[in-house]
Amino acid sequence: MLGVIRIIIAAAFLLFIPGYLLTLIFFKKIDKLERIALAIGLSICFSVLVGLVLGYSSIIGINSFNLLVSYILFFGIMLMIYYKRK
Amino acid sequence: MKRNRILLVIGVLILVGFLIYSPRLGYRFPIHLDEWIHVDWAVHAMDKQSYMEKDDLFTKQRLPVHEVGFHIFLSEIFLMSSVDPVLGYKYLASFLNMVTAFLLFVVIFKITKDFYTGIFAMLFFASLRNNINILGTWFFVPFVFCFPLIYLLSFSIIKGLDDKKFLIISIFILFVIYFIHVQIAIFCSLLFVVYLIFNYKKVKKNWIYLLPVILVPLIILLFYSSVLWNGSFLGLIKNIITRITFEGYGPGPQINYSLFSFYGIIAYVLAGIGIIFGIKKIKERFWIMWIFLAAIFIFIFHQYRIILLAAYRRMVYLALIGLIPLSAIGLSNILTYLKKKIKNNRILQLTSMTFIVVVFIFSFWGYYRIPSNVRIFYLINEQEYEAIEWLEEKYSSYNVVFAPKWFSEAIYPVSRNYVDYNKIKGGADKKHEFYDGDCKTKLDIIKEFKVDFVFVKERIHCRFLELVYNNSVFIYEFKDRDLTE
Repeated sequence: MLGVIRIIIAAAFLLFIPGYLLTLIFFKKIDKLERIALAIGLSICFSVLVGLVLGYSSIIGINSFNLLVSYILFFGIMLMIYYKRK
Repeated sequence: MKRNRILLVIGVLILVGFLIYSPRLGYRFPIHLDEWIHVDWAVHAMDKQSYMEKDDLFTKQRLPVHEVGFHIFLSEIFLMSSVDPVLGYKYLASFLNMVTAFLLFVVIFKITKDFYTGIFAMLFFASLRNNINILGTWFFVPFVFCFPLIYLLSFSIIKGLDDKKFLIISIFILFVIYFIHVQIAIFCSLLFVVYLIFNYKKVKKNWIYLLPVILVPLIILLFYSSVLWNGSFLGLIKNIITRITFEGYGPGPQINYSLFSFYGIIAYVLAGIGIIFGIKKIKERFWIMWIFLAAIFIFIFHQYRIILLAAYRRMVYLALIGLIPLSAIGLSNILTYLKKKIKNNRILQLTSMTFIVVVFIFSFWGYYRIPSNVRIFYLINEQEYEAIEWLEEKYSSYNVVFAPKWFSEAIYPVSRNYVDYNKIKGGADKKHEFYDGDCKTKLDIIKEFKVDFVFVKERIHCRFLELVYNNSVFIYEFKDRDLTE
C-alpha cells in the first residue's frame, strides 16, 4: 500500500504539480484541459532540469531526499509568487 | 466536457496503453538492448548520486552524453517512487504513450475545436507500427520520450502566434528537448523558425522570440562542448557534423523501409485529404510544414544516401508523428462532408460509423506483423535474472563479472556488478577470446581484467574457476589469484 502511495506521489511530483504551478503563474485564465496538458508537459521539462542541476552539482548530488527538498522548495517559491501576484 | 466524452477519452487511453504494453505481456524485464543500456545509465546515476562522470572500472567516460535528460528523468522516476528500475521499466513505455496520446488529444481538440478529431488522432497514434530497428512507441527510449514534448511544443508554437506567453513556453520546452534528443531538438528548432517566418505578419511584434530559438542551440553547444571539443575549432565543427550526419540506413540492419511499413495506407490517404483542408488554416498548416520539412530530409537521403539530423528510419518515424494530426483532420473532414450530403440522420450515423470502423480496421491491420530480422528479442530469461540476483545477494556488488554478449548488459542494472570491459576498445574481442580460448587464455584475460566471477551457459573445466552457482546458468568464482600457468 505504501509503495502505491509513493508511486502516486512521485507521479504527481514528476508529471503534474510543478507544471501546474507554472501555469498558475503564467496564465490567469486558461481552458482547463489546456492547463492540464501544459501542466504535464511543463512538469516533465521541469523534472529534467531539476535532475540536471542536482546531477551536475558536485556538492549536492542526486538522491531521493535532495529531489524531494528541491521539489518542495520550488513548490513553495511558486506558491509565494502566485499568492503575491494574486 | 460531458461525462460520456470523458469516458470515451479514458477508454481510448486504456486501449493505447494496452496496445503498447502488449509485447511485454508475460515478460518482466526491459526489452531490447537499448532499454537495458538506458537502465544501466539511470542505475549508475542513482548509485553514484551524480552525472558528473560515469566512472566505470576500465573507462572514465565523461558526461554529458547526448541523451542525459532522458537518463536523468529515468533515475528521478526510480528514486522518487522507489520502484525497482529493472522490474519497473516495462510499464514506462505504456504509461508515457498514454500521456502522449492524451496531450495529442488536447492539442488536436483545441486546435481544430473538434472533439472527435482529437479522438481519431489518439487512435492513429496507437496504430503506429514498431520494430527493434526503429524503436517506436513500444519502447521507452529518448526518441519516444520526446513525443509528448513535441506535441506540446507544436501546440505552444501555434498558440504563440496569438499569445507571446506560449512562445516563451515553446522556447522552454525546446531547450529541454535538447537535453533529451539533440537531433529531434534541431529538427524542432528548424520547424519553429520556418513556421514563424511563414507567419511573420502575426509575429512581427514578437520577432525577438526568434532570437532565443537560435540562441538555445548555441547554449546547448557550450554544454556539450566538453565532449565535442577535440583541440581545435575546426575539429569541433567536424565532430558536430559527424554526429548529425548519417550515411546509409544508419546503424543496425540496413532496411529500406517503405512508407507503409509503420502506418496504414488509408491513414496516408486521409493525411493527404487533411493536407488539402489544412492548408487553408494557419494553425493546421504547422503539421503540413512538419511533413514538408521531414520530406526534404527524406528526399535528400534518397538522392545522396546521406541524411542530416537523424538516421533515415528515425526521420521516417518523425514524419509519421507529424502525419497523425493530418490523418485525423482528413477523417473529420470526410465525416463533415458526409454530414452535408446525407440528410437522413440514421443513414448518416450508420455510414459514418461504418466508415470509421473500416478506417481503423485497416489502420491496425498487421499491427503485430514484424519482419523476422527486426523482431523483438528478450535479452535475459527468468533463470538468468535469478542467477544475477543470486550473485548480488551472496557476494554483494562491485565485483567484476564476465558474461556472454547480450546477457552482460543486464548485469550492472540488476546487481551493480561491473561488466565494463564491454565498453573498452577491443573488449568484445576479448570476450570471444575468453569463451573460445583454453584455460591459459582464460586465466590471462581474468588477470588482465581482474575478473571475480564468470557467467557461462556451458560448464568450464579450469582449476582456477570454482563453480558457485548451477541452475541452467553457471557462475564460476576466480579462486586462485596467485596462480601462474
